[in-house]
Amino acid sequence: MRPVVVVCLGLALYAGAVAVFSLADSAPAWPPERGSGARVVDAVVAWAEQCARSRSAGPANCPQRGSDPAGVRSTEFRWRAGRPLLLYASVRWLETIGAFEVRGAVNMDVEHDRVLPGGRSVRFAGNFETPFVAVARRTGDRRDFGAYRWTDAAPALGFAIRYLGPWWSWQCCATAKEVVIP
Amino acid sequence: MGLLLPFLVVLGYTGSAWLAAVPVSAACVRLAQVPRLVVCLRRLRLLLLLLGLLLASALLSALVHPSGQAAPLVESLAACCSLAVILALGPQSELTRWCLQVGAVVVVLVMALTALSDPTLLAAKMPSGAGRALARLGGGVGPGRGVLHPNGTAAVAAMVAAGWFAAAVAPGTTPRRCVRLGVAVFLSGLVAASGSRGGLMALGAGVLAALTGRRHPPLMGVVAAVCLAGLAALALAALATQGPRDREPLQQGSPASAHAGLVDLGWRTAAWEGTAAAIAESPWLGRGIGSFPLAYSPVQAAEQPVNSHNTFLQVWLDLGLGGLVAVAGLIAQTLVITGWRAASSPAQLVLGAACVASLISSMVECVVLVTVAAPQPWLGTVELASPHDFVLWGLAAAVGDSGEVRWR
Repeated sequence: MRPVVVVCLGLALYAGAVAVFSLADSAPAWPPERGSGARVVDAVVAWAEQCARSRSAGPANCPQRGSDPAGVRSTEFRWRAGRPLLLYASVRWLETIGAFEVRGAVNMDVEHDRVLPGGRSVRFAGNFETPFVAVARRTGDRRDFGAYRWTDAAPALGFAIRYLGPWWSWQCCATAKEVVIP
Repeated sequence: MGLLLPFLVVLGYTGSAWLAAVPVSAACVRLAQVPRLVVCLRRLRLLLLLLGLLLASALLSALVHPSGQAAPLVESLAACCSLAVILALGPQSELTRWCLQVGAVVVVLVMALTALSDPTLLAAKMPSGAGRALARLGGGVGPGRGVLHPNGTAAVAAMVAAGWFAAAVAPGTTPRRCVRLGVAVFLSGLVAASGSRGGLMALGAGVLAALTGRRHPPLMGVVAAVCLAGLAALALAALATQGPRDREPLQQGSPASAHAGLVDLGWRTAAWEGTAAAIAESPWLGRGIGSFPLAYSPVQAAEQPVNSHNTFLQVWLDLGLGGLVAVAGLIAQTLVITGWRAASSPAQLVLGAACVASLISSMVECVVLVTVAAPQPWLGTVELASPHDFVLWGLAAAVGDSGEVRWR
């Protein structure tokens, strides 16, 4: 094989790959669905209400986390929607991933029973406010979102919502009030 | 040619497909200069086939799962594959020695940059609070926070340190071996200072491989297998010993203790679990380049890691089964070649030890496709191919020395 053929063959292969790549639109953009933006905040409120009914320390796909480093046994964290639950929210469509980005903050009340060495329980109640970033898509949006399809989203009012962070945690119980167990 | 190589590879990271064509052209020109091309192509057929499969998988993944993150990865991958081909066509001994020297300088520079970019994190990870002075000097979080993580830096440092250690145990004059041992100890010190448990484990495996390979080269593969089995057993132990509280994510900068190491490994197994769930939805073609932040299935103990913390799972998720087969094949080929020829070539002993170290790092970090921290990770995480493993794969396939030689 002559050297010039090898060089040309290699470069032709590379140029072909670059051309196919360019034609296939390597940086895609997905336009928003008409009229779907207005209902995103309602869906986010419904999602936050679902989260606020949880009894887990870290419910999946939710903005709240609870931890109790001094407790000797894992017990429930009973979350409840604060007033108001959603402190603020801003919504914008991200063309690069084809989803609504929702930035906001939620406000929840929490109750937790700390189990002390010896088995005695002490109940604490507190409040937890956290900012959040989530992405949302209408569940009826059947477009192919390429590498940005997501796994394990929470359904709420016709939207699929995926929580992305931050991972703030309510740590029991420095700022919490001790409550008498009835 | 040696001095030109790093500049050629850097062109793959500029984000321009046309500049990335330069290293590809260099590899083609180098191929064209080979006197007996057909014989050479026959010798390198497996390497070329596996690199081709890796590139084809990346291209297919980018076409099937389009994303804004695909182009940088494909371009850097093309540059790294070209580097592997160029090295595979050169003299193995000379290039291995040169790569070890460049590697040592790069490790020192990158470690310094890691310390400057996030001194608090590095100081917190250092054993016994040895980095408090560094944290005070650094004055807090620097501009490059998260781009260079001590764990990623330690993976490269462990690989290079294992290589230097193997060079020290290989045949050679006593003064030169002492110098090599000195460099190896210095680099090992950097790995220890980074507080990376994965880095230390990789270094230990590399040193063990070098010592075993010195007398019985084929046993280097056995050392790799034993270390992998040990890591798997540790991961199972971490899962078994986890209580509900231990399943909570560890904070960055956790102290470097044995228990924290076990909890951290448990956190990694949770991240592997979440990545495996994401892969299960599309095991043949993967989920696409930069898909990790949205494709990852959150697990309570590891809700949103920056990547899968396992090279094989990350490649599978990004590039599909073809990419996984290619990377596993390239590592296996390197281990087999070096185990086969290390008796007659010190360079192969060096490459074998470095490959074992890199393999162990690959199990707990993403070392072939590295993740660059992004201010908005939900827009897709920027991933780039890292050249150090490609250097190993290329050098292992290069023309070795004939007969028993002593390293200069």
